[in-house]
Amino acid sequence: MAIPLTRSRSGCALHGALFTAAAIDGVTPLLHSTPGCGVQAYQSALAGGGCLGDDRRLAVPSSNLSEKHIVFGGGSRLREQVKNAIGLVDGELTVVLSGCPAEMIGDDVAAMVQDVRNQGEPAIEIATAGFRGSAYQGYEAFLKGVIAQRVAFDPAPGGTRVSLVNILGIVPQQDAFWLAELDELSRMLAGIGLHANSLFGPDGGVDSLRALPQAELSLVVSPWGLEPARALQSRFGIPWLQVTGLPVGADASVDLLRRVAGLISPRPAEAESYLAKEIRREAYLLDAVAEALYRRQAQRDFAVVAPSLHAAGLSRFLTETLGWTARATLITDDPAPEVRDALAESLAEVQFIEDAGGIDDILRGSGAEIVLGSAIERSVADELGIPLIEVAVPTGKHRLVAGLGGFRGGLALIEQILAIG
Amino acid sequence: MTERKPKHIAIYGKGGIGKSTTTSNISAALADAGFRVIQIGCDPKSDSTNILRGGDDLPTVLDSLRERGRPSIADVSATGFAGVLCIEAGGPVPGVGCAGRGINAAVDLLHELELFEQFKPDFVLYDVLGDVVCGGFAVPIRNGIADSAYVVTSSDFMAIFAANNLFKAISKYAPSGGARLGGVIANSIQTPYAASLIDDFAARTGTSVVGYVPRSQVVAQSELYGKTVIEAQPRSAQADVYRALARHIAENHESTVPKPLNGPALKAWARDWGDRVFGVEAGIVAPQEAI
Repeated sequence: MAIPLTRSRSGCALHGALFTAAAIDGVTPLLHSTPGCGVQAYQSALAGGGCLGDDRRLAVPSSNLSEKHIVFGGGSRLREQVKNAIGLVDGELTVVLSGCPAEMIGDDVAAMVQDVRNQGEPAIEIATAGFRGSAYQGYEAFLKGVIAQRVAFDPAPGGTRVSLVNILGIVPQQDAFWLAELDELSRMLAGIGLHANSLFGPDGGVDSLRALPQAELSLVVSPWGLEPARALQSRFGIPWLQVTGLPVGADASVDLLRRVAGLISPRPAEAESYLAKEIRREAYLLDAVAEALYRRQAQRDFAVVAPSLHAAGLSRFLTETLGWTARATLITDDPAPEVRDALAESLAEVQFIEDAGGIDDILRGSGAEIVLGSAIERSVADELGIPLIEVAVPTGKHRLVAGLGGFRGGLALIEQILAIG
Repeated sequence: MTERKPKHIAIYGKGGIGKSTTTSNISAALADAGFRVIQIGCDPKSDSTNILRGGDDLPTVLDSLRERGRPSIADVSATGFAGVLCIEAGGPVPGVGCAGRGINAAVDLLHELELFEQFKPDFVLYDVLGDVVCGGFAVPIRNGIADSAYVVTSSDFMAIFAANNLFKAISKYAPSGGARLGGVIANSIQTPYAASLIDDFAARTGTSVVGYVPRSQVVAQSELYGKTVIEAQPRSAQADVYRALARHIAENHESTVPKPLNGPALKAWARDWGDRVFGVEAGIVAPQEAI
């Protein structure tokens, strides 16, 4: 029986791949699809997808297929568009992303892109038809596609870069506050003497993409980084460490960093000293706001509605650090069945659900006094007369300095709790 | 005075089974009897109407759509034997694009160009590739296009298999207003058991055979001259066969919704016939056997 899904929180696989490609400076995404595919991705970014989403990046070349190309094939249109795009758009690597119509009619995209490569232009193609799944799966497909193709790593990568850690599992635009999350994770890894390879943001870019095979470790912070990490391991032998979402607050962050340091740590003593400093900092600041928190309401019953990247970490932080009670932890990105047990481990009231109507019903019956969710939960929160903190896409909130993860994320969340009164 | 509604008929059949020859001869017979007829080839091979118009080149609807934007009816039609208006939907080169969508687009365009309002046909015959491989090839039997469909089959298993697939498509679309089955046209009848085999298949699927077209040199000769039998050898027995078929189609016989056999049943049926055909060739005559 079909499962209803109202107000989906995620775009399609093409969107996820486009968000990912567009977030890497130096990559020129080229859509091989009908015009609406790119427009819809652009509009979802404008409408609060992603937070800090630079929607100008989504003004990308597209083969803009019409019925004529569906009937007779879109190959020659694609060849023409790639040529034009390379002539007009500055970029180091063109990535052709094929949409549903091109894949349904079986356009030989690989042959067209090979022609481009034969002319000396670095280009790859990745099958990202929307029907392949959600934007999260598009992120996976993009990275797996890049890792599988030699040209993305041409010239061949050098030897392993000591202390370099790939961060995998944070999906641009689709995961809330993705830039801030990458920034904090990078800062935390630097604290224990490691260097993050974040792909996106001011420290990312094509060089970062090409450095993927040189890392000592891949750190997988959501289920969506798992397949790319496995691909990097099987092709380049890079080990990976998977955690169940971003850590929120000092306890979880220290736990994660100790696990990473247990695998690669150039300076263990310095790492411990850094961790102690962060623990002290959070304790000090929590102490400073403890009275203000108690004055508002010492303990609350809460519900979290968020994707795998954030849900578990938030629920754990509120429960273990603030002593609140979880009434519902709703994970909204439909992760694979085999990772669900790990995501739900030691959490209370966990459900995997995407449907907004179903989520509203659960929230109504949960007894939660505060909701951490997306803007979609605004109406049910208003109906219940309880506050909402926006922690997931879609949201209009922008965060530059701290997202929700890591040491700063926990503190930023406390700031927001204090702000709602 | 009310205008008579044209009768739209789709004729399906496995590739190479003789459906274009059969359709063209039916069109020719109908036109020869004074009806206004349009024949629309819905096969990317674009050779449905060749023998109606002497094999002259005819731009397809889709080629014109690709090259000129929006063609006129005159751009994509030719007048063939006895005034049959010949149109080829056309399609992409093999292995590229989507032929199914092409048929959809071509039929849409013909409607937009008000072909039927302008030409005022009595009959519109759609000659469709019979391997209903995707939704596009089922367009002519969906609601609002053809009233009824006929399937051309020989006694070869693969032709029967294709006919059974068409029955599946008809039984899916008929309840929502799609075409019903007019009947089965048994073609290339030359072995002693062929007619019985096709009769049996029709009986098993709740359909009926509306005509038996023997394999004939007359057809081959006429085709070599780029003509239908009706035009080239109007007094031949073969021409009478096609005229009888045309009469049947022109009369309002009851159409049916077929009951296609499922995979195992079709295979079991075929195996049974394999045994019977072997028996015939080995000279074994079973009692009550119709072959």
